[in-house]
Amino acid sequence: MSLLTVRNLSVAFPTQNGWFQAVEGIYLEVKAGEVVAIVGESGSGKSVAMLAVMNLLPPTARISCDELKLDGQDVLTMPPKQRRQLNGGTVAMIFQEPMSSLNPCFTIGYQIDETLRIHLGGSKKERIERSLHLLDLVGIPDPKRRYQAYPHQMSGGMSQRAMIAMALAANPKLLIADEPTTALDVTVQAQILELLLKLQQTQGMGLILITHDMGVVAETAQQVVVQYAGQQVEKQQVAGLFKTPHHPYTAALLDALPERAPAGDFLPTIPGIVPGQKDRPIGCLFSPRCQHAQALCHEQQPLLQALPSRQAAWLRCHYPLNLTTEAVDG
Amino acid sequence: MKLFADEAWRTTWLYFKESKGGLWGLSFLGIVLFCVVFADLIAPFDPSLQNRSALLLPPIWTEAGHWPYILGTDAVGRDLLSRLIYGARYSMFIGFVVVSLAVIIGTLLGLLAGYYSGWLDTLIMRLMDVILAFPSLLLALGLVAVLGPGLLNAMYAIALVMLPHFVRLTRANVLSEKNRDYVIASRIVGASNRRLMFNTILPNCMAPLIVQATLSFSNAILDAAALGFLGMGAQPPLPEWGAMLAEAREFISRAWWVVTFPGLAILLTVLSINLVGDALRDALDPRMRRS
Amino acid sequence: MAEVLRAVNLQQVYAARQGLFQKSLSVHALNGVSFSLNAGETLAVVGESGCGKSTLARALTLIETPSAGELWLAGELVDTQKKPEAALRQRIQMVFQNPYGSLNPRKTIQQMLEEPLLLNTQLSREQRRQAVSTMMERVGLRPEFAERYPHMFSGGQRQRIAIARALMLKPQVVVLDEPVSALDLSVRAQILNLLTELQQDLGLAYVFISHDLSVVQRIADAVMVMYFGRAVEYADAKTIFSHPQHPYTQALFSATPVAEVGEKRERIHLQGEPPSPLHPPPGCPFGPRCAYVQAICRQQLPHLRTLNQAWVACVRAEAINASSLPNTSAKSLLHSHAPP
Repeated sequence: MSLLTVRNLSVAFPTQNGWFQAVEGIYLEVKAGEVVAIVGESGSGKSVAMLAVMNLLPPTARISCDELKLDGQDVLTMPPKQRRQLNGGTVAMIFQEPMSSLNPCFTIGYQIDETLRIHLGGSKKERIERSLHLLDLVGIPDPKRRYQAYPHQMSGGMSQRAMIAMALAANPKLLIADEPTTALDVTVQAQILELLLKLQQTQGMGLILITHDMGVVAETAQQVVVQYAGQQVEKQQVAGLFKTPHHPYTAALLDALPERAPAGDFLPTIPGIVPGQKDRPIGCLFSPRCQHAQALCHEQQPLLQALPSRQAAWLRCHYPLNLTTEAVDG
Repeated sequence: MKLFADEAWRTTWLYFKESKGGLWGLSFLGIVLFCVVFADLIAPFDPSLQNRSALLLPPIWTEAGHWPYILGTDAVGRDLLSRLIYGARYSMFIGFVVVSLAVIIGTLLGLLAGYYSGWLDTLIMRLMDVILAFPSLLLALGLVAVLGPGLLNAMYAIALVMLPHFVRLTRANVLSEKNRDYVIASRIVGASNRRLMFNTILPNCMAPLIVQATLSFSNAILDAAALGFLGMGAQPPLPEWGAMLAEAREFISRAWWVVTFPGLAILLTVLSINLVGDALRDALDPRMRRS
Repeated sequence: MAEVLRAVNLQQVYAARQGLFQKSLSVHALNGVSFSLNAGETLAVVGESGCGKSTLARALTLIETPSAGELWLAGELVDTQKKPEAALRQRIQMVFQNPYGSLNPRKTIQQMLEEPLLLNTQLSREQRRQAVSTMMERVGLRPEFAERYPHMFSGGQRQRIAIARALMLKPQVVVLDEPVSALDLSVRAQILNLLTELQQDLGLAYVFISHDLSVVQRIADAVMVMYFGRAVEYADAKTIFSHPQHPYTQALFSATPVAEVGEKRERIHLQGEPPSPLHPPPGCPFGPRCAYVQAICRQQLPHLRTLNQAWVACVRAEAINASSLPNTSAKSLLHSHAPP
């Protein structure tokens, strides 16, 4: 059974010049034990979509969705109180900046205990035991001492571990990690990613990893969704995406990576910038920057369609790339 | 020095006009300013002209009131409306001078304290703490007592009392701005300390200062009125609003108009300035803007 | 090629006050860093936060006076105790990481770009305008935009403005402090290309501070890996990427995720985090996290020494590299991808 089902999710924000469509027609399905990466540049709506799933957007946001199910429960028709219970219980989220996600006024122990109190209950002694166990689980040395530490006494890596411990407190079935390692150093990033994957496997959690780092995607994810300007443009298995990207945007993005670009002094680039609210094209949103764009691309927006030959692969493009070579590699 | 470009002013105005209160305040201030400029033309009488035959005449809409004394007269037969119109001059003048003094000196001291941290910072800030340690009106009163009563001395005293707020505000902003990359970038290309302070950092600290200055404007008027009321500010027969109140004190029970109208003038002016200040703060603070 | 920048044993010591009545501790933010850089070349300085990269940048751009050491700019010894003269300052400029913080929000592009000229040259108003216009075109911005304010530009365009500002004085050396790490993926390549192009055309020398090894591998001629205020390995890019010798370099390379699915590289697990600068560990600062640590590492501080065409600060480098442990880790980073 899938942990998360999202069908046709759109989010718009009011601005001075009318509504800004931050997310448009998102579909997502996450099963237990699956790692799904959502990749995109800033402004691609990857965080907004997940915040909408978590019901964490400001009330001014206009959200529309055909179906939103968490662990088989229909979230859309749920009373608010019950909906809140899901957060932290069934689904948990960790954020980019561990330093600012932790409340500086309270000890780590207190903040973990708070989650436990809300979702699991139990006696004070049981909760402390569970907290210490959690701190140990996420690899924080000397949990007893750290239990009483304040966030400012811990390094970035340790704070992120503490955040993960908090997120895991109530045994969530789905964990959404929004750029969990972007603010961290490379060696610490490796530790945290490994920890997330290990926990995901041992606990059988579903994991949604929001990131802009293709390297992180390649090494951790099973399914990859690529977003551009609020739309999903491509979804594939990770191996297929990196080997045979079908959407020109994915292909161009991969080509522009310094480690993948062909040898030579200059890197292939994507001309122009992501369209904003005012210069949204009529046709395909990527068409002004696309090398393969044709007349149709500028006139008509392509629809999200399944690729029949691939399992659970979608694409939003009139003229997909690499489809002929597809049969060759499995 | 060009602190804001036309463009910045335009967007500020765009956000400012969102606020109804701000617009009301601005229109009332417009009326007051009109009085300030054209007092000689619109005031029906000379503010110190006494009419012995019309003492304590009530406003025109009461039974005993009569033309041309629209708001009535005071105890020595001076036209209240004319005095209020001329009084606007003094109030605006006081606000303007006091705030200018406090802003210029306060910003300068704050800039120095924030930019050169160390002993200079300590010296300036401790001095400000000393000023803040006194109840502000008491300090102003004491200063005027030393300097001698009079409008000008009252203004100096009020400016001094207000100084610490500007110093602290400027210093806090300078501290947060001075280590930003753009300041370092300017330093790398060789900008001098003076240029960094006045040309690079100061313009980025202006927004909260402008708001504070607007709000202080009303405070200055209030304080000056208070000092006038206590007999330490403007001396009779100057038609300053606070001094008018003080003169009218003994007639409160007999002639309500002599205290009500100057009080109302102070109230409305201060209220409109505060409304404008609030609107300005919302308009200048990027965090309040909806993107 | 001519040497344009040489640092000899640069040190930077800060005093850190612990409390009101405790004696202040000294923190070595930079502990004896030396290198030499030729015109047209790029030295990449790699390391994690707190390793002294930014302190090095500040010392090189003469913002901060180093506590000790020499700095040579184009064969001239810089008197670091004196306020730098215009002639000297013009030779070394800097581009910052975050283009949103490095541009003055209250100034137009014209004002920002002409500031270096205004302060350091006697050019007339019209000449300055002309120079700004030329430079904007050079970095790929429309000169008509000169009267606009920074907030009207995207991140990539802002970084172009920052680069233009650094080049206004025609410097020989540009210190690039993580110039692309705040930018989006699709813009990153544009800026990197611009930097390469400018280097080729103007013969600029770059000190490229970065933590992104894939970028470093792409553009660096030499690489210096820093840890805890020291250089732990310093070699030309080919050598260091094909054969990293210091255990920290190896760990750093292996920890960098590579956008390539398939062969899982063997990862060197680094325990813990860098030590506190207030309480440095005895001996090798990397010792507490090193997998190969032995008693000798805790006794003496390793100094840089030549080993297989590289400078390595590790007493056990030979022993480590002789063992069969995974120093192949960097290979997949190097010959990573052949275009399809």
